[in-house]
Amino acid sequence: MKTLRTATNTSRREFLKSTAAGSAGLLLAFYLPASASTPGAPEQDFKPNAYIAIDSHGDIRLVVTRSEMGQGVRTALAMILAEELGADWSRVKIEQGDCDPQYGDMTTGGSMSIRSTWDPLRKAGASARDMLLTAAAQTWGVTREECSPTGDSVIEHKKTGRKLTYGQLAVKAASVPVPKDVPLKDPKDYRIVGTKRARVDGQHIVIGEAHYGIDTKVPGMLFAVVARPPVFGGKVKKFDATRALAVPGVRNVFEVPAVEMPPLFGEERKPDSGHEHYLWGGVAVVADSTWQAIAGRRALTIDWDNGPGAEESTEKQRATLTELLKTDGKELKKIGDPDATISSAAKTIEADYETPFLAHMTMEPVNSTASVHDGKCEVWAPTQNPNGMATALAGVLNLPQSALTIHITLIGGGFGRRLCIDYGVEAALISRSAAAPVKVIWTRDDDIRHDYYRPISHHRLRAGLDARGQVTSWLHHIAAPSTDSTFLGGEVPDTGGTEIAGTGLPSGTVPNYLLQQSFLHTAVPRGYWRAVDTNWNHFAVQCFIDEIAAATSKDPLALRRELIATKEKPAGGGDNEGETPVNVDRLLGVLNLVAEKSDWGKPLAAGRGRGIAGLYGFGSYVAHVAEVTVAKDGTLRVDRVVVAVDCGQVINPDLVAAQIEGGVVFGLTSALYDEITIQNGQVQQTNFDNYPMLRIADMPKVEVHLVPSHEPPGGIGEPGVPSTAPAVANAIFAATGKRLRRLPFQTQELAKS
Amino acid sequence: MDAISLTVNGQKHSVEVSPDTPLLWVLRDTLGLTGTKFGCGQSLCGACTVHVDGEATRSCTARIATVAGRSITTIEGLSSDGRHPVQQAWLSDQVPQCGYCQAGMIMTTAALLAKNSAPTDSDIDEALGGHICRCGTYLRIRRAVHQAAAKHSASEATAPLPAPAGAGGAR
Ligand code: FES
Ligand code: FES
Repeated sequence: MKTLRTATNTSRREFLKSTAAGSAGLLLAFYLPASASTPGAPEQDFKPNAYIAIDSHGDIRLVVTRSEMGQGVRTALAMILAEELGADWSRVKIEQGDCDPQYGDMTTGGSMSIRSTWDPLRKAGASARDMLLTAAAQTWGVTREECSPTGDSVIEHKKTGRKLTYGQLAVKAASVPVPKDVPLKDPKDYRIVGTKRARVDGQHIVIGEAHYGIDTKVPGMLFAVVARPPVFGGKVKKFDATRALAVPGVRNVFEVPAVEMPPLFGEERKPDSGHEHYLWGGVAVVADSTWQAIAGRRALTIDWDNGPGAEESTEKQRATLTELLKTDGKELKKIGDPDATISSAAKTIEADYETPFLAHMTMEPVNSTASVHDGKCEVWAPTQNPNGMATALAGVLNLPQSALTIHITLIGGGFGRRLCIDYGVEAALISRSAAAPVKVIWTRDDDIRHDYYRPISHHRLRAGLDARGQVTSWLHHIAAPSTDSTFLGGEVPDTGGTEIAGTGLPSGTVPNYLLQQSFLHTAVPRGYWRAVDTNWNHFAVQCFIDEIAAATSKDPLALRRELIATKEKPAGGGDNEGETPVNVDRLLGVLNLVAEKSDWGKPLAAGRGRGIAGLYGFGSYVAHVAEVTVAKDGTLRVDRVVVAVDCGQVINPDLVAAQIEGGVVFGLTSALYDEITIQNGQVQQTNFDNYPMLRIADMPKVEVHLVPSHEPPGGIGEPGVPSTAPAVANAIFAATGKRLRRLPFQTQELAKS
Repeated sequence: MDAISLTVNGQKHSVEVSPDTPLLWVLRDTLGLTGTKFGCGQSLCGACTVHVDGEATRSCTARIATVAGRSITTIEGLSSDGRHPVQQAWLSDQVPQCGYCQAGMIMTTAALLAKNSAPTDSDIDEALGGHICRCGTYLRIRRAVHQAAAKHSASEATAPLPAPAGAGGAR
C-alpha cells in the first residue's frame, strides 16, 4: 500500500522526479535526508524516499518515513508542503512510508525532522506548484506569467477570472517537465507556516483509534513475553518449562539466543570500542494471549549464568567515577595553558557534580510484532531507527535486505529509546522459532530493567579568577561511560552541552581552557535519552557558571551577559552536529527575553528564588528561568518555569510550545525524582512506584515565549529539556544559599536544622 | 475456563478466559478493543482506565471475574464520533502529544464530570493524580478539563452528557 518500492533510478544530480502515475494524477518523487549534515541527494543513484501525490479529486498525499511520536512531525510536514504548494491545507494527508533499506537513512532523532526536511520539502512543493501552473497556462493557451496560485489548491487566470483546481490539473501536470530551481516563497507571504494549526492525528487519538505498535493485529498472531537475563550480559544456563507449558493457552517455550548486534547507526564496530552489544537473549513464552504468556513466564524456572556483570553496583560505579576524576582524562580540547593559569590564579573555584543512569519510560512500553516465514521477514515496530533495525535483522536472520519489510507504527513516546532496535530483532527471532506471527510485549518491569540508559556521569569543574574577578581559566573533567559506542561502534566522548559544543559558553570567552573525559567501563547498556549528553554536561556547566557568579558577587544573568560580550562573533564551536557556529546574539536574545518575561531581578519572598540557564543546541537557542519555593522542612516546589525560545522559523507555534512544555516536565522529572540504581548487576527499579514521574498536582506554570525569526528552523523536541535541571538548581541556591550538585536533587539537604 | 459474560460499550460478550485475567487483556487481546492502553499493569499510571458501571476503573488490575455481568465503557464507546465534550475539549486545547496516555485521561475526566460538573483544581488533582503523561501534557489537560466542564454545564440545561454506556455504542 504505502510502500516506497516503485521508484526508478535516475541521475543522482536529479533531486526530483515526476513518476508516471498513469491517469491517476501527479506523482513527484524526491529525497529527504535524515540529517541536515547530509543535505541533497545521496551518494550514488537517486533513490527517492518521499512522494507527493496529487490525484484528480485534488487530494494531496505526502508519503514520508518520519516517525510520529508526539512531536507533531506529520502535522508540521503537511504544513510546510501546503504552504509552498499553495494547497488547501485540509486536503493534505500524510502517509507513513514503510522502511525500504535501499532508500537511505530514515532515522527520526536529534531533533532533525524539520531541520533536515525544511529545504527539500519546500523545493518539492514549489516544483509541484510550478508544474500545476504550467499545466493551467497550457490548458488556457496563455503565458505562465498571467497565471497565479490562489493558495487554496487553485490556479487562477487573473485577466479572465478563469480558475482550475489542482485536481483538474493533476493529470496534465504529470506530463510537464520537472522544473529546476523554482524560487521559494518569501516568508512574509506565509499563510500556513507560522500559524497555529490542529494536529492532523488529534481526532484519532481522542476516540481511541490511533494505532500504536502495541496495537498491531496480524491474522494468526500469537503473543509472547520474554524472561531476559536479570544481569546485563548474563545467559541462560538451563531452564524448566514444565509448569509454564501447563498454563492454559501457552503454546511454546524456547530459548532466545543472545546474538551480537551491529552498531545501531550502521558503522563498523571499532576494535577498541570498549563495548560489546548483544541482544538480551532469554526464554520466550508464546501463548494465545498476553496474559497467558505472562502467567506462563511466572511459572518458569530458569538458572542464569550471570557473568562478570553481577559484580557491578551503583556504589562501586560512583566510587570508580570519583577515582577517575583524580586522574588525567583523555584531552578533548585545550586552549592556552589552563594548568599554569589556574595554579597562579588569585582565586580558584572548584565543584563536583553528578547525574545518575536514567530510563526512558516511554508511556507505550517497548514492543514489536514480527512475522518470519518462507525467507521473508515483516516487522511492525514503533521505531525511530528503521535502517538500524534492517541492518541488524538482515545480519541476525541471514536474509538479504530485500526480504525485509519494516512497518513504522505510531509511537507512544520515543525519547531515544526507539533508536535501539533490540525489540524488533528479538520479535523476529521469536516469530521464526514459533513459526507464526508473534507480538512481543514488554511489561513495564521488562521495559525499565532492559533499557539503554542515559549514562551516569561525574564532573569536576575548576575555574581560576584574576584579581578583578575575571575568569582566566576553566577546566572540566567528565567521567562517564560512552553512549555513542552503542550507535557508532567506538568509544566516542560525549561532549554535547559542554563548552566545546552546545552552549559554547564559556569556550571562546576564557583564554585558558581544558576539557577531558575519562571512561567508565560497564556492562550497563547506554543509549540516547532526550537531548542526550547535553543533559548531563549542561547541568554541570550551567550550575558552575552560577557558582562563579556567587563567588564574585555577580548576578547570574549579568555574568552570562558579560561572558557573551567578550566572545568573538561568530564564535567557534557548534551545536551537536558541530557545524553551525553559535550565534551569540541569538543566545543573548533568549537570555534577555526570558529575564524580561520572568521578572528577573524583582525581589521574592523568603524561601523563594529564581534560577537561570541558557542553551544553544539542536539548532535552537533556549533559555529557562525557574522559580521555586523551599519550605523549612526542605520540601521543594517548582512554581513556575519561563522559557524563551529562538528556534528560527516556527512552523506551528502550538507544537513548539507543546514540545517545550513537555521538555520542562521531562527535565523536572529527572531533576526531582529519578535514578536507575544497580545492585549485583541488576536494575533495582521495576515500575512507576519506584521510578516516579511528575504528576498533574506538581505541574508548575510553564510559559513559552517565541522569538520571531525567519532563520532556518532549529530542532525543538530536545532543547526544552537540558536547561530545566540547572535552572531549578540555581533557583534553589537563590532561595536557600544551598547548592545541590547531584541529580536527582537530594532535597533532604535543604531542611533547616 | 468458564464463559464469563460482560457488556462492553453496550454489546454483550461472552469470553472464555481464566477468571484471574485482567479486564485490560480481555479488551485488548480477546475483544480487539485496543483503544484502552497498557502502561504499567499495576494501577500506577491510569493508561488503562475504563468505566465499570460508570466508575473510572483501572482495567489492568480488575480481574475479569469481578466485572462479570457489569457494564463496561471503553474509549471506543465514549462517543461514536468524538463528540463527547471531553473529547472536544481535548481537541480544541490540542492536549495530546504521543497520545498514548490520553484515553485513560479522557475516561477519568468523563467519569469525574458525570459526578462533579464544576471540578476545582484540587478536584482535578485528586481525580487525575494517579495518571501519568510522560510527554508532559498536564497544563493542557487541566485547561481542557475546565473547558469541558464549562461546556458540559452550558449544555446541561438542554441535554445530558452523551450516555457513556449507551446502547449500541460499540463500533
Ligand atoms: S496500565 Fe493500568 S494503571 Fe497503568
Ligand atoms: S501524550 Fe504521550 S504520554 Fe501523554
